Amino acid sequence: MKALARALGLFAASVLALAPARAERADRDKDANVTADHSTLDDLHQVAVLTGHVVLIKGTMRLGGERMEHRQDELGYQYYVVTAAPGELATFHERRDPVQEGVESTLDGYAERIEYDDKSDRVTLYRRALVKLFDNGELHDELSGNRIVYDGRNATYDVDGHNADGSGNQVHIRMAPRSSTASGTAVPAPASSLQNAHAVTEGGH
Amino acid sequence: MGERVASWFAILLMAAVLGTSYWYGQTLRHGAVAESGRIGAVDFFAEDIALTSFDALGRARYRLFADRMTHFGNSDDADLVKPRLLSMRPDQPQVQATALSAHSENNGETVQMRGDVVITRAADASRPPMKMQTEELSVAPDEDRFWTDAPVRMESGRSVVLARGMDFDNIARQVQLRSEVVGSFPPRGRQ
Repeated sequence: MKALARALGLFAASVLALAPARAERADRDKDANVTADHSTLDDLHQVAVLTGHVVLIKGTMRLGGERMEHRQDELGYQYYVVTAAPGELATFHERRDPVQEGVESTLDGYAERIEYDDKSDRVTLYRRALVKLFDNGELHDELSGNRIVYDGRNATYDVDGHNADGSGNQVHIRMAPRSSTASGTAVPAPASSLQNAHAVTEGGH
Repeated sequence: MGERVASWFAILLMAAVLGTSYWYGQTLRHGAVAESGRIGAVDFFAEDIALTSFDALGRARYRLFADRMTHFGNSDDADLVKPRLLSMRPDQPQVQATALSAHSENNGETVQMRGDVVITRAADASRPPMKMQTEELSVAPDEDRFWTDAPVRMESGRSVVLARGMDFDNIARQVQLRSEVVGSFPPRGRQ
C-alpha cells in the first residue's frame, strides 16, 4: 500500500507541476485585520483569544471560524489557530502567486481546526480537512483527509488519512489534467482514493 | 369689567412665570445631585495634590495626583481635575491612568474617570508597552481593576484593537473586550 501511496505522490508531483504555486507573497507584508464578537487578551502570555464570528483578513488570505487564538513570538512572527463551532467547519481562503498569465489561482480550505504559521508559511487543517484549488474560479484539484498540511512557501500538500489514535480513514485526491490553454476546459480526472494512506503532492515553482 | 379681566389675566400670567421658574430651579438642583452623587457641603479643596495609598506592609500601592481636588465631607466623595492614577505594585510593570476629570467615591473605593482617558502599561522584558484610550473609565484602585462600557482603543506594540466595553484586571493580567472587536496586527518587520 505504501508503494501505491508513493506512486500516487509521484504522479501527483508530475501532474501538479503545471499548477500555479506559492501563496501570494504580497500577503505576507499586509496587516492582518480581525473582527470578532468578543476577545480576551492574556497580557502576561501575549495571547489573544477572539470568539464569535471571527474573520481574519490579511491581503488575499482569509480565515474564519468561531474561535481564534492569536500569538506572536519575540521575533514578531504570528500564529493563528481557528476552530469551528460544533458541527461546522473553519474556513481558509487564499489567492496564490500567478504562474500562468491570465489564470487566477485560488485555494479554499475547510476543517474543524485550522492553524496558520506565519514563520514557516504553513497552513495545517485538522479533522474533516478539505482543500479545493481553483483556476479562474473553476475547481481543479480537491484533497481531503484527516490532516492536510499546506506549505505555502514550497506549494506542497501533505495529506494524512490517519486519526490521532492511529485508526484509518481515507485520503481522497482528485486532480484535473491541466490543459495547455488557460481556459480551463479540461475534463476532471476520476477521483483517486487511498485506504489508510498518506500522500504528499507537490506543486511547481 | 374689561379692566378687571385684564388685571386677573396679568396676575395669572405672573403666577405662571413664577411657578415655572421655581419648578425649573428645583429640577436643575435635584437633577445635579442625582447625576453626580455629591451630597453635602464641600469640606475642603486642594490644588496640585499627591495622595499615596499603602498596603498592610507599608508598601505604596498606588498614587493619585490631580491639579485640583474638591472633597465632600458627608459622603467622602471627591471631584478631581486632571487626575493621574499610578499603580505601583513592585512585581508588576507600572500602570498609569489619566483623564480630564474624575469623581472618586467613598474615599477612593471606585473612581469614575471621564474625558480623554488613557491607561498605559509600561514595557517589560517580554512585552511591548500597552496603551488603552476611552472616554469613560471606572477604576477600583485597591483591586487594580479598570472597566468601561464605552468604545475603547487598545495598542500593544504596533497592534491596534478597537472594541466596545472592556474589563482589565491588572493583577490577573487579563483584558476582556466585550463586543464589536476589530483588530489589526502588522506583519513582521513593521512591529
